[in-house]
Amino acid sequence: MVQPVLWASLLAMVLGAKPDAPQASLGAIVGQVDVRLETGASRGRPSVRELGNPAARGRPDRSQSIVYLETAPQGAFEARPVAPAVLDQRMETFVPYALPVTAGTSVQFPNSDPIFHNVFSLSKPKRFDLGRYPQGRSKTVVFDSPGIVRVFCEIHSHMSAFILVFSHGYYDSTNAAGRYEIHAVPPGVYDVTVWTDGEVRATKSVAVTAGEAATLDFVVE
Amino acid sequence: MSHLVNIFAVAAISSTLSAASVAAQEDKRSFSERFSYGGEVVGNFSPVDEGYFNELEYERNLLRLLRFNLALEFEASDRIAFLTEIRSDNFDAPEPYALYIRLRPWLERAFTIQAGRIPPVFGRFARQRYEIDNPLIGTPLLYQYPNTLRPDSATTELSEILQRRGFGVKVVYPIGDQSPHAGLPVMNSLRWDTGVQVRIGDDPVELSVALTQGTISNPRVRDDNSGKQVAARAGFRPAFGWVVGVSGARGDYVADEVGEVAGGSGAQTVFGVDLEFARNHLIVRAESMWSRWDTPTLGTGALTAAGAFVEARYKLSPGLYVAGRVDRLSFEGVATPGGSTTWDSSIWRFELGGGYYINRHLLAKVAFQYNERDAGPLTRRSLPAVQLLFWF
Repeated sequence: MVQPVLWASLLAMVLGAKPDAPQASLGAIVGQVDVRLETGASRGRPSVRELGNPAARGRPDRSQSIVYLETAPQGAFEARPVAPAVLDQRMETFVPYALPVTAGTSVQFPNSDPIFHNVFSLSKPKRFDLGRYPQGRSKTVVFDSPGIVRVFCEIHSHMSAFILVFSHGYYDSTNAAGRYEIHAVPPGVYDVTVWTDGEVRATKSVAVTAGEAATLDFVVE
Repeated sequence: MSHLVNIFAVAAISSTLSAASVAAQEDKRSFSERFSYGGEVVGNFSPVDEGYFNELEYERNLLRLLRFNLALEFEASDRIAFLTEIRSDNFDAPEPYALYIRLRPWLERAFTIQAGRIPPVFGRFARQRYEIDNPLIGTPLLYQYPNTLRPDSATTELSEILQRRGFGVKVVYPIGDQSPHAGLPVMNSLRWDTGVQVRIGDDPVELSVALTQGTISNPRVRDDNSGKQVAARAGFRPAFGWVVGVSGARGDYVADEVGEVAGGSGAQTVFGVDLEFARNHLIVRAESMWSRWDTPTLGTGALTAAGAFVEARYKLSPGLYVAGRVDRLSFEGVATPGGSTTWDSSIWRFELGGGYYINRHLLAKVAFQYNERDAGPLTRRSLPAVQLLFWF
């Protein structure tokens, strides 16, 4: 599912939108996302053609949210090293359910299950198909273009995940308590957006001052 | 023997149902978390198959077909689930060809009981999860091609069977039902049998055993003779990416209307081997079966057939693959005054094709199929085919 607002913001970032902030010292944005949506796990297709019960499955944390700046500060697009990220395959579940990365990041896809998986995506920002490989092995994909990449397993239709590829580094993923922290933000006024379970849910403005952490909470319902 | 199995199954189901009712009360999952659905809409398009090479048993041609398929599953608890799969071909009345209950008496053990109209334990192809798992458009001969034997219509003369070589799509004999109907495939992948099955084990070894009304070539909801079929498959995963299966089945297939004339029934006895290898972008699957049908109205004894196929799929790029299948079904030779001949026309089939995912839920397949046999309405036929498949 493509979210126009997120796409527009990613495009704006690629074009180099500048926040009205000096670069002298930095602040932060912290807060909590309270997800009140019904986010039960997809059960996938029925196992009518099985001779027994399918293997036990994990439950993807679909309440996990990504919080990011709609407009990135000046200099956000300068080349900088990016650490590899990991999207694990564990108990027939992608972990995490949503993975934010910066364009150019290498994402590793280890198989931690004692069965085959076949990770693939047909999303325009990155089409790939990793084929089938056994437990303990991993394959890597570099995500060069900003956008949203839907990731699936060809064998297990209930497995899905999102990779959000940003052109800057001003984003964070909420933890189990719903907390997020975006650090090293130059002072200025920013639009901050929260994305949950495939959709942009809310956008709020916040003023960041040097040496301080601005608090911004969201309720997603 | 079959009464003992039935008694065991009923006892197991009863005890599990009582346990399940307690578990269901403790299960806090919402309805949506217990319920799942899925389905397919499949359109197959091809020129007219004058040789009836792809004819199904109920007068539908597989390459010229519009199919709707809906699967439903409801987990009443961790121990009990209800499953069904409903199908309609060419807008026929929808039919539940799967409708059964799944029970797990012991959650900590790999032990499952399924009862009702159940998936076949024999072989592998008939349990392919959905049409989307078939890399090509055609179905392997072992699972589709009707021979000239019928369970409910028979003859005392071998010559009458030989006269119909290659015409299994519509046969009738003097004894029994006098309406023309398709003969028997070695295994019927479109209709599922009715009975009880048990699966024990999981990885690396699993064993499935089923007791059913019909046979693998003639699955039934209502029994048409007093016999039952016992079928079993042992599956083994010797290494990552490998699956090897060995199957066997034996059951009475001759309907009472023929058996009463013949003074006895007749069994289908089948053995099979299936193999799968998968790694990276390649999948290779192969199956082989040997089947013997007792023919109580003939003085010549049983008739046998054997077949095998090998298919492979390779992904060229994301969403694009190529596939091929080599397929053979051969029938036993019988002695005639004019020399030896097979009791039905042995057949070769080669199918090449590929698929492209227009999006995750929409797959387009193309295939080219070549069929060859030495008798029948047409002995050779090449058929191009296109399939559009939407799944949800």
